[in-house]
Formats: sequence, C-alpha cells, structure tokens
Amino acid sequence: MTSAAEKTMEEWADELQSTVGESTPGQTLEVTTTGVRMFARALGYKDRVFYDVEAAKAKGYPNLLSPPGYLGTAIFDPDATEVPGRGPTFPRRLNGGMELDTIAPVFAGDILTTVRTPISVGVRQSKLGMMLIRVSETTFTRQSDGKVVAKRRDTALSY
Amino acid sequence: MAEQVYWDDIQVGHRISILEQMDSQRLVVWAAASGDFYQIHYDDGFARRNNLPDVLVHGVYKGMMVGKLLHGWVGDQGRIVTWGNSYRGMNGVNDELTVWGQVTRKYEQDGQHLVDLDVGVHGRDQKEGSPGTATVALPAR
Repeated sequence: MTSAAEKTMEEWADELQSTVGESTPGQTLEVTTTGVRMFARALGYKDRVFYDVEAAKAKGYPNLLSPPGYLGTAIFDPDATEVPGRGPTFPRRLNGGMELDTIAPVFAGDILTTVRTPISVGVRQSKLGMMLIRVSETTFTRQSDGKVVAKRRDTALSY
Repeated sequence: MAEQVYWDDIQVGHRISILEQMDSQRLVVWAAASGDFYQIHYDDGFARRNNLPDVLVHGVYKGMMVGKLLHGWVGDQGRIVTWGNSYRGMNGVNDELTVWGQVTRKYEQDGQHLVDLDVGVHGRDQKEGSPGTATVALPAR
C-alpha cells in the first residue's frame, strides 16, 4: 500500500476522481428541541420560534422551527477515531465553504438521513502549498415523509 | 421580529447588516451546538502552536451568521431559498463581526418574488473573509 507521503496531490486527485458521482448513504441526524435551542443560542437568535414550543405553534409550526442551516446532530459513535481538523490521509483539512438550498422547513422531532455525492476533485497551488479541493453535495431527507428538505454543497480543502 | 419587508419596496443596492461581538463563550457554545471540537477554536496554546495568531472564529459560524441575518430580514412571510459562503479569512476570538448583505437583483420566477444578494462577514479590519451569495423569496404587496 502506498502511503500518503509517497503520492502527489495530483495522484490523489486522479484516484479520487473515480468517486465523483458515486452516492453513498451517510448519517442519521436528529433534530431535537435541545439541539435547536443550542444552535439558536450559539448564534444569538432572539426569535422565540427556536426556543418556545408554544410560540412556534402560534405561528403554525408543529414544533420548534430549526434555525437556518441547522440540519440536526449526528448520532455520536464512540468507536469513531476521527481527529478534529485532520483527515485520514492528509495532515491538515479545512472547511472551504458551503452553499445550502433550503427546500422545506425543518422542525424539532425530525430525523434526517443524508446521501453524499462527490461532485468534483481538483488541485491548486495556494499560499499553504498544494491543496486538494473536494466538493461534495449532501441531500437531507426527512424520514417521516420522505421529503428532501435541503441540499448542501461543501468544499473540503486538504493540504 | 422586525416589521415585514416586501419585495415591492426593495431596490437593487439595498444593504442590510448586523454587528456581532465575538468572545470565547460564544465559540464554546457554538462548539457544543455544532459538534466542531477542533482545538484552534478554544485552546489558545493549541492555536499558537499551529502558527495561528489567536483562537479563531469557526468558518461555519460565520456562514450561519449570514443565515441569521437573512432570517431576521425576510420576516415570517419571507423565505431563504439558498445561501452560501466561502471561508477564506480568519477572525480572532474577540473580533467584532459585520454580517452583511446587499441586493444585486430582484425578479419574479415561478410565481415567486425573489431577491439575490451578495453576502459576507468581515471583522474590524474590514477585510472580506467570507464572501458569498444568497437568494430569498419575499412577499409582494
């Protein structure tokens, strides 16, 4: 097996190119009342539809409304070995950005499942050195009604 | 919530913004909310050993702040259709963030009254580090 150090970024990009377009099931995400409130609190929202179930219902929602961008929390796996900020292959990984299509409102109590599809792989020179740029699209589907509620394109930078 | 904004009343060039004073507590609450426990966002020694000038505000946090700006602006009758940001710049833990949007286009499509915006987040140094775009649907009069 060839180690990461022996492969160039271009070789990695060529290898990962074969995964473009291949969808893989991802995570199950729980949208809980506690999760909604914590997300809203962290961002300093004042709108009570994120905190108070009665206030949310008064606006016609079935439960707390999920703040923009909050698509639940993954169920923690105690056997997961991922180290924050580090990828399995490269010494450093950065989040390069995201685009989110909000298709339907999400509420506390929803359980979402994701499907992730790599959509491009590239290499470019940056001030941090050669950088591998991977863009993927994740589709978020609500389990209770099968509705796609959001699609997000994420850019991951490895170097 | 602020008074409802209507599509008819918005012109290209219209600018919206909020100011957000950051501190370590906000970053720790965000770490818990997001599950991002990378130490560069709360451990000063770790950040400096990784050649960073300070503990840094999470890129995603800045992106989600744009969601907060848009949510507050579109009101109960409006809707965020899409938004996105690149995470390019660094902001230290005690920076004051300006989260902004500026209308670049207004149009009707599929029965919706839509507005496109440029969006971004910058600190006190005024350098735009999270450029992006957004589309929202607003109610018409």
